[in-house]
Amino acid sequence: MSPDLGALYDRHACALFAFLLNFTRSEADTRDVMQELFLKLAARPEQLDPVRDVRGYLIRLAHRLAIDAHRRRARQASAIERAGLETVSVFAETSDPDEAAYRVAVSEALAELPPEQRAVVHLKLWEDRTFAEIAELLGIPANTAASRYRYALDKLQTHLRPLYDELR
Amino acid sequence: MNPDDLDSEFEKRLSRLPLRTVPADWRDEILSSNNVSGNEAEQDSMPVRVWTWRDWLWPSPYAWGALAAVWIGCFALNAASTPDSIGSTKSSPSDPSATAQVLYAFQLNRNFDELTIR
Repeated sequence: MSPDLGALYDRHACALFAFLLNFTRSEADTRDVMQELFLKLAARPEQLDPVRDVRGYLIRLAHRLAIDAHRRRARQASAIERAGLETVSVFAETSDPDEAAYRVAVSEALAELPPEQRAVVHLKLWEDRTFAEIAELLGIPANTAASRYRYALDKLQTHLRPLYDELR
Repeated sequence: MNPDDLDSEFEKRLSRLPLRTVPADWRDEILSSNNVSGNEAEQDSMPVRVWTWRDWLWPSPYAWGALAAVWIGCFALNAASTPDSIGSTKSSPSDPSATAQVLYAFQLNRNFDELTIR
């Protein structure tokens, strides 16, 4: 039975958007990948029939498409263009100035991480995935997922320590 | 302790940060591109490719025809330059002198083997 793509979008678009935005750090790339993802689903809707964890399947597909898009862009873009990446915030806005500053700092700290560490951190913290699930989604060993998470967390803590000290 | 648990306040605070939601205007753009939504009948009636004899002549019947013509030309030239046509002195496999030469060479080889075995 073909899935209702509209319902699929309504159920998973936010999670896909957040993951892709954190991974690509580009709204344009995020939109392109999401478009490509749903095109692929429309072309072969039966691919979801045997899937139990639809969210995980979509994230895995999104991750692969984002990597392909990044490689295509890397071939086409000059070094200067690649350096001028847009600054994006992956967190919702808030009216509290302290909280806003914290969210901006975390967003910038995440941007400093390698994309694959960012992916692991995102899936662990905001998708509440286990390391085994993350490993399966990203196609890496579970130990690698755990290592990347620890390295990323250490970097985030180092980057955000001044802010924590200031907030105390 | 479960290694998957968030074991620090730092992690827990990070995980509580609310993520941005997908812009509302993206839905129509993403779902309507290439008629993603609502056109299941069209998707069901997508044509299935049927192989014809022309597909087996990929890339082009003309290309295959030209290749065949080249091969025919090669065979024709080869036939035109056979020993019978230019009066070659080379012996054919059915020539008795050739057979004798082969037998002589075989005998020489046998004699050599016998010498080396000793």
